Amino acid sequence: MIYLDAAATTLQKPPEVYEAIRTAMQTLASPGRGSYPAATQADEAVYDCRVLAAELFQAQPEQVVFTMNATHALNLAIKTLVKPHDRVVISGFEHNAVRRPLYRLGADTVIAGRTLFSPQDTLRAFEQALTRKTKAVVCTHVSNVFGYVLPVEQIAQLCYRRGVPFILDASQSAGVLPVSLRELHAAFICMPGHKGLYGAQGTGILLCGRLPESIMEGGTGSNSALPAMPEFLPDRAEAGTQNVCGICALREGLRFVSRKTPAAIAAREQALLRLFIEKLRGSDRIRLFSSGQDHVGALSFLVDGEDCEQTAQRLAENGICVRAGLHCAPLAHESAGTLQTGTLRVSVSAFNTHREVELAVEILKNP
Amino acid sequence: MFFYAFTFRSLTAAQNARRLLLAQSITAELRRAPKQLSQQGCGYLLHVSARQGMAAYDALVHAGMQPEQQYRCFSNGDCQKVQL
Repeated sequence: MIYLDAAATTLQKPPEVYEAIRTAMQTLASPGRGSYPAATQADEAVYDCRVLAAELFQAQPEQVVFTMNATHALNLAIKTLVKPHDRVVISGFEHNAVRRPLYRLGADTVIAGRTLFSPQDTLRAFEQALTRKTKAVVCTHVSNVFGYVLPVEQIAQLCYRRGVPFILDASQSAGVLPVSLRELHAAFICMPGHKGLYGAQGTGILLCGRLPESIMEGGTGSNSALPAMPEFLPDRAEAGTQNVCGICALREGLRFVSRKTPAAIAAREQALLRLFIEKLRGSDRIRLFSSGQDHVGALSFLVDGEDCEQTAQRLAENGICVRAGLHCAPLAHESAGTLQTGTLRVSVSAFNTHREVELAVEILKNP
Repeated sequence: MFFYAFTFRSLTAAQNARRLLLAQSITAELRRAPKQLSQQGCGYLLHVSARQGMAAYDALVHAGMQPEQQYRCFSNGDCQKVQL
């Protein structure tokens, strides 16, 4: 099997990640709930993970909230800042994890920056879209469909200067590109634990530049005599028993990323995608969505005369795992003009090799 | 003989404080607070020796991690609230 769907989840993990889940399941109880060793060891495991995440993303440990995935984190962030009819500015490349909560809230959503692979256009569009009425900006760091890197540092600066809370969706960038809560002055940064951080599915992180509203209330192991959720982090947003097994896996994933460094992982992934582009560019049957700039994580294309789902099926039958369709990001497809066709997406991780790329291209080109 | 008990509002706050103290070679043991010291229920505290108590308190205040309360606790289980 050649796995090229890391933008959905990284299937291959460092061996320590698998081991961490097994050990946690066998030895750890609920954190913050007891004085006996199985509970206090869980306290320490969760805190270790918090510290590692805080160090990697330049935050304080208490600003690290564990969620069930990036979508959960985005819901917390968006529902804290946005109320019905509020004006919100988002990019033209947002995932449904951003679009749907805003739709549900009845927000007045303004879409800024529709041009693929044009950071200048994206930034200009945000500059024009921000008004005094703007209650929040939500922007993805990297398009999960096209691997397009948006100019989020500049957009965050713009928001900071104008006093508009900024939410970053780092679903495709965490573990690969620099992501700093401190540098971006972000209200919230949202990310999954199971993609570029190599943890388990069912984990995510919300980095909090401000206190979130709780969208789920319950036990926190603190202030238990009070009926209201605690007013402090991380407890305010962590109701109920935590996913300790997942957090232990994420801890090992974070150690892996910190050891390898995001820059080295990014360089490796970009080299693999460049090889893809180079090998596919020669084919007149393939329409590539690439600007020549470096992609991060993902690359989309279409094969002439073949539905993208058919291509994905053909590849699957040959042991190549890719994703086809709209990738839960119809807005990105609308922006790129591929809403009707969808695209075929390959996405890579630290575990892919040049040989895998060559084999995948060979099968792709020779039906 | 006594030791100091510093209470914190959350487990993470107590863990942060312990981490800071450890970096300054001050040993602090994290425990769940006895019910009598936990006004809102389910609190956490750090035990610090009588010898290192003042240094620990100063370090915490300096780092903006001031405990909620400070106690002097004795081996018979009695704890007295103190101002440091």
